[in-house]
Amino acid sequence: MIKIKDLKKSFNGKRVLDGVNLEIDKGKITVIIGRSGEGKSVLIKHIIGLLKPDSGQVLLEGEDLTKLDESEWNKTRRRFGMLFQGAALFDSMTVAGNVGFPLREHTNLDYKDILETVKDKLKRVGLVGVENMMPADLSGGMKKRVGLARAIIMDPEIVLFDEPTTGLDPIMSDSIADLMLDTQEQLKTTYIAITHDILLTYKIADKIAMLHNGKIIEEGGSKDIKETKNPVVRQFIEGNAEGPIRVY
Amino acid sequence: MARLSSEAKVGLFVIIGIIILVFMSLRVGGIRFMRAEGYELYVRFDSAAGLDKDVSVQVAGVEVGRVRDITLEDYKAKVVLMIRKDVKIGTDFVAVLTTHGVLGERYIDLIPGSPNAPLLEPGGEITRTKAYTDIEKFITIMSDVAGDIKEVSRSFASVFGGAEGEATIKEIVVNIQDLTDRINRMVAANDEKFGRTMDNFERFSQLLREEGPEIAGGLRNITDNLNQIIAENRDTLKGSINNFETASLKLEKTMDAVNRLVGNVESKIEESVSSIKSITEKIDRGEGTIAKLLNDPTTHKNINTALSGVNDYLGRIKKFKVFLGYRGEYLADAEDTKSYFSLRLQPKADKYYLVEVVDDPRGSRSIETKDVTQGGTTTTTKEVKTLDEFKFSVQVAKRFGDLTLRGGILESTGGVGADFYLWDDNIKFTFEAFDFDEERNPHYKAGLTYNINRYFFITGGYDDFASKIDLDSYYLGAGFQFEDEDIKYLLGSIPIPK
Amino acid sequence: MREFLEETGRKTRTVVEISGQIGLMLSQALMWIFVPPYKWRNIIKQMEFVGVQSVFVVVLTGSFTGMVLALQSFEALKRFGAESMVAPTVALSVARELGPVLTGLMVAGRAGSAMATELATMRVTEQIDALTTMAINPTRYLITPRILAGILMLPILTIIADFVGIIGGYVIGVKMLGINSGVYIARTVDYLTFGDIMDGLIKSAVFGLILTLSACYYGFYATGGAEGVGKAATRSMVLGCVLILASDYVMTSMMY
Repeated sequence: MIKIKDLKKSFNGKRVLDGVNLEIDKGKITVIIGRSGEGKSVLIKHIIGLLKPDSGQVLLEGEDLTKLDESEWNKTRRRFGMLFQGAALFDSMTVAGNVGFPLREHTNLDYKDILETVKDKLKRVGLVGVENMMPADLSGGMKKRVGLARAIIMDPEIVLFDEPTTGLDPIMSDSIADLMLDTQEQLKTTYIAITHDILLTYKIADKIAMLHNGKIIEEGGSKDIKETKNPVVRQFIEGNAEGPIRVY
Repeated sequence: MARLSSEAKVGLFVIIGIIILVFMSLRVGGIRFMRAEGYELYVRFDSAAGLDKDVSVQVAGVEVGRVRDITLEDYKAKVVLMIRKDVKIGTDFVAVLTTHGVLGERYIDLIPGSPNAPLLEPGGEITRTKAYTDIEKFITIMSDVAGDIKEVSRSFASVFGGAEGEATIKEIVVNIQDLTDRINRMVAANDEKFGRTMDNFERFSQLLREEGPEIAGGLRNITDNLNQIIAENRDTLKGSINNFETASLKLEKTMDAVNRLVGNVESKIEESVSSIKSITEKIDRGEGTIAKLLNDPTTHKNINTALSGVNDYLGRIKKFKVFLGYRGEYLADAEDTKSYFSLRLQPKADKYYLVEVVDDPRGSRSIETKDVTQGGTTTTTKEVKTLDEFKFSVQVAKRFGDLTLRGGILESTGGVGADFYLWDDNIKFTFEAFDFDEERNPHYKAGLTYNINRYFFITGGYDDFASKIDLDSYYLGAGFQFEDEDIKYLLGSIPIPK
Repeated sequence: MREFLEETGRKTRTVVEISGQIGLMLSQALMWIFVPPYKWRNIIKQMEFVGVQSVFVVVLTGSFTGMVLALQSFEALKRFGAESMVAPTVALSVARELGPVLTGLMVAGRAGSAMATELATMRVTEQIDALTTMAINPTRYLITPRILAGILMLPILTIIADFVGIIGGYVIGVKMLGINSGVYIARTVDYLTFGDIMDGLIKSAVFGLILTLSACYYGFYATGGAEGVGKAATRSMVLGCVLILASDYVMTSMMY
């Protein structure tokens, strides 16, 4: 569905993406792994157009997203949803306000219908009766769930996850993983997640890609990755301080 | 109470803001509809300094319009006024640029003229203008001065007014008697030299009252001596007198012309003379006043403050000098002495005012024409009339180098005079002409004065040499003159009675 | 020497960049004013925040300014015997200068810095990115309402400041310093013109634009987590106040 071709991006002379090539399949969960600061977030922000590449292409069903202008993007983005690392809920709005925000802005639904949809989506992420709470009153896991509810409120075709389990305890991480699988199952949505949580990766991924030194150095199913011969990937998935990657 | 929604709060806030704005703009009245409601006039000033657009235009302190525009036209400021429709401005109105108070705002004051004057059409010009003047400033200063004068006169009035005043005056007289007693005692006891000076002074004042035979005798001696000198040099003198006579004949002709001119203003001169007379009479009556002035320390102080105040105002004038003097002239032909009391006010070195009271033993003589009708035939007789009275001189003098010219009232008539100085002012040639009467010829006087020292001088000359009524006479005389500083010294040495 | 030149070059580039970014932000924000549909709720909320919630502080500064002016000018004018000129001194100073400037500075301090903090927080917690991913233009959604609120609310705050300032001057002048109340009001009315008030209000609208724009700029482009949020607030306040005073000079010299 999405094809990333030779994507390059530098910040202040430092090359972060150095020719990324990746194919993302429709209706599957693709997980991009890599060390912190390797540019996973940068890669995902290119997909949704928050960043523009120095060169290369991001093709969505053959259409080059990097060439879109702002108004074209606004149409295309409705096909996307995104869950940010910190959930990025609007502090000034209630949970219902946050989840219903895209509906309020983009549809002519009246208040009652919006609230109905919001309650439905919140139920799907396992939350009931939190509509009038403020984001500040929620725990980290609940925030992520609300964020997910908001990301899927418009029934997008593609949902991006930026570190969905960061900052959560392992049990909560696992419940988030379950939630992702659940929601993906129901809607047959294409999920793209970036994470360094290897347990989550194994649990949810249909396809795993490893980003290292600005390039995808390995990709394949969970099995392929587990049995890889690549020492860098090995070191990462085994969580070894010793290996080809030097930690300073 | 239900909480207000954001919309309600913002709405309320905006409404309050607009209400305040409308209220303030109505109060300050900045929004004007002058163009619709008024008409334009214009006025040209030599200078519109300090004037701005929108400055108030007032009649009798009431605003009737505003300045609409100020432009330059032919190097003059053309000011366009927007006048309220209901106010009519006449053609003879005067536009004055003025201010409210000292620091106040400029405004244009329109001073109404006569009520019958035609009214200005819209677009007309107010032709009469007055720019800023310093008169206001001047008036402020003058009112200060007037305040001081008032103060002084109030203290005068409180001293001399009413029965109490009379009592104090009586007291003063007693004080003076006491004072003179003390002076006599002091003088007797003290310095012999000073005593003599005071004696002389007293003798002079006696002479002023009783003609002073002693001095006259002394003067006669001097005349005898002079006569002797003249006898010895008779021929030379005669020659010079002849010259003088021919010269004076010429002068006579010139003076005839002057006479005619003066004749026209004679009545005016008489008027002024009579007013001066009345003033001096008042001064005469105030003799006691002067005595009081000299003796009352508070008055003295008041005068001093007043004088120093005056000095302050005079500012750059280096020294204001006052001279008091007396001179007696022995007229050889009349065998009598003519006395002059003089007060000279000298505000500048080259300018002075001279006030003199003159006691002429021959009085003021004039020729009167009388028509006597006897049995059908009318004969005209001329008669010399003598009036025994004081005469007054008030003159203004201005000095040019060694020459001083003066003019004004001389011996109660109009006249002019000239003094020529030699030898560091110690010798003075004097020529005077006054009493331009065609019947008796003008009164000319020529003379010479020699200053013996700072205070005393002798004088001599030929008086009224052109007289038709035989009043011409040589004269010889002497006199003294004191400056105010000397007088202060003199007074300061007199103890003030309790 | 080379370092110095490089440093100068960097600084210059930064200044040029900032000016460019601010200009771009302003032009985009203004453009969105004219693109319907209008999000009234957003604008109203910002108006409440900038306007209604600043009333108290503006009334406080306004009235004290008027009072201090009355006291100070009385001391000076007493020497000329022109005590009644306290009234126009207070009225003109407040209406032409101190009303708008102090209101601008107070709102910059209160609302401007809060605005910068809010936007900076939204930036570092990716809320602004979230808006973008939801196909909401952040400039239109966040910046236009704030700038509009600044432009609309500052004049209203200023007229309130003018009013309480003159009242404050009146209270001190009449009740404390003993100037005749009729004379005070008459002098105020004589000298103060509608033009004076209007000039002040025009100034204040510009100040409103400046302080919200500077807050939006530093908030919107904040980086570096919590520390970045604090920096954004401080910088926006400094830039806002400096620009208010500088533009005040420029406008004053143009108006009179």
